[in-house]
Amino acid sequence: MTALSDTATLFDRDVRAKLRTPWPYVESLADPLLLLLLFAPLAGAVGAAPAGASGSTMQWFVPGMLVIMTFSTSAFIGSGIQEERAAGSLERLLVTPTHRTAILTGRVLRVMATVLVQALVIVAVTAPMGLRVPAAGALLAAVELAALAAGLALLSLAAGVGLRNAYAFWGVVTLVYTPLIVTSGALLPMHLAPDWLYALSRVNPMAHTVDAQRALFAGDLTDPSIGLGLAVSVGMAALGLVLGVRAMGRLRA
Amino acid sequence: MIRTRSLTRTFRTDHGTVEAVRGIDLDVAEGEAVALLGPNGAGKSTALRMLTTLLPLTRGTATVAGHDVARDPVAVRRRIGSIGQGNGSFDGLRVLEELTAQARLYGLPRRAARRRGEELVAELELTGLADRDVATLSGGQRRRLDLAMGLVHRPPVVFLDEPSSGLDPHSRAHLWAHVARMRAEQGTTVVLTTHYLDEADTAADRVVVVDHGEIIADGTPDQLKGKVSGDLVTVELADAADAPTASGVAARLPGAQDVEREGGVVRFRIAAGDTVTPDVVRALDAAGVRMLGTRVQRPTLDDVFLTLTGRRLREDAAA
Repeated sequence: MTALSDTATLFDRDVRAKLRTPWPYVESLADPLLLLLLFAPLAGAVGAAPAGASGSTMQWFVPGMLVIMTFSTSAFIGSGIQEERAAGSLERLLVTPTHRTAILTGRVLRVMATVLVQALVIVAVTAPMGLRVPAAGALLAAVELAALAAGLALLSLAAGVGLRNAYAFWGVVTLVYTPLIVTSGALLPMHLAPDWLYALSRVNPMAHTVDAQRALFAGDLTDPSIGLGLAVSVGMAALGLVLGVRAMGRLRA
Repeated sequence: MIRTRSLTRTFRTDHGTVEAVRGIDLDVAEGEAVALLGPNGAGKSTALRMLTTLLPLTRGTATVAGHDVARDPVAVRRRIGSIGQGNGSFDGLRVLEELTAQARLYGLPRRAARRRGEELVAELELTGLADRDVATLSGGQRRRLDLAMGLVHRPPVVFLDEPSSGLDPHSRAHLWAHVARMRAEQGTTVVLTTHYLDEADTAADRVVVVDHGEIIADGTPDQLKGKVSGDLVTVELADAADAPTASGVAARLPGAQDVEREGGVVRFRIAAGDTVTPDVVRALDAAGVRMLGTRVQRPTLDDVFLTLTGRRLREDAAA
């Protein structure tokens, strides 16, 4: 069978499984909304983020929260494939003619779909609170979030398949979690950071997506961060795909 | 249907290289059912994983259903069903969903796949469970679902890796009944691994005994049992004090060997145990030994394994 139709089959299978156990996705949705509710006013009060009118607070915070939500939905899915491997259901797929790449891409598509639905919910909740949603910008923002989701999900899957045990996987995730979130600039603006920290944030792909999301929701389609953010996400997805396919090829289920 | 030559697999571990499978030559004819029998760690599962394309061969060749497992693994995968040791279905999905997904992965269009799934639900007595989350199934039901998923594309060869481990006797019997029916209806070639001797005995035409990664015996269950010298005769004595006398009498019977005594019980092996029992009873009677009863047991595959290796197949099978 072709990689495409297998991807469709496994996308369908994964969607059904996740619809029945939606709690992780409710959590990854609740987290950014709570940050928005509790942290944004605090950041505004200390003058780190635009306070003033609630509209501008939303305008500054929501794009970052969309990126954090994308991270928490995508970056841990490598553990899901480890669970399937431990249970035996990955082996059952591997003895069928299923295209190896489809075992990754089916899941990645499902993650992208989840991220888009969650982004829709966040925007729908915050628009009445003052978030401006320019049509063209929001559409492009959705594309960038989906690309970021694909990049993070593929790298996570590559780690999940490549690392033999769950401890190693969560070890890696825990190690990268804090630096990625802090230097993304989603919570506090990176231009407040010392030079070395700012420099560090420039190698964090998520920092570029955050910049791009802010520009897109501001309706400034000429901002160079938009192209950079997309390029970085696509690059991450390409790297993740190469590593993931290689790990699948070496997999001894 | 299956042909291996010098099938070899080595693993590198922290303690050096381990040869899990050492040069196995195995031929399985179309429609044959072969059991690979051996203790844990004998290399049965490793051999099976090479035949099902899950593990590359270190050396040697293997052809399954007309295709080389190393050169054309996808062609092999299309023609085999493989039921592994774990749960093939994943928690959170429903029985019919898993079957439909499986059928689609073998290339059936969505609706045909669903129809095939419904057929298998009926065939494997999963009726009424089609919309149940697989996590809520019993062990036996879950194993039948695994079998159903392996049979979705009506493969000519089916591999079963310790399919009945962890099942209660009723579910085991049920599972084997389905395997037997599949063989009768479709002439499916079956290769299974087990360390249950009774299963190898009833489910397989041929038993291949594997130990330390090598084949140490290969034949029909009856041929293998013929390797054990005679039937096991057990005599229970009324008085344990007669045991030395009784074992002396037994040892003098023509062809008797392996005489053992344990409390008031004397055991020995002798050819055609059924027909010599009257002689045994007469001889013991003449020696003044009173008996509570006698019993004759045909050799089991466990006895075969003991004869071949000097070890029991499973520690808990020593009873």
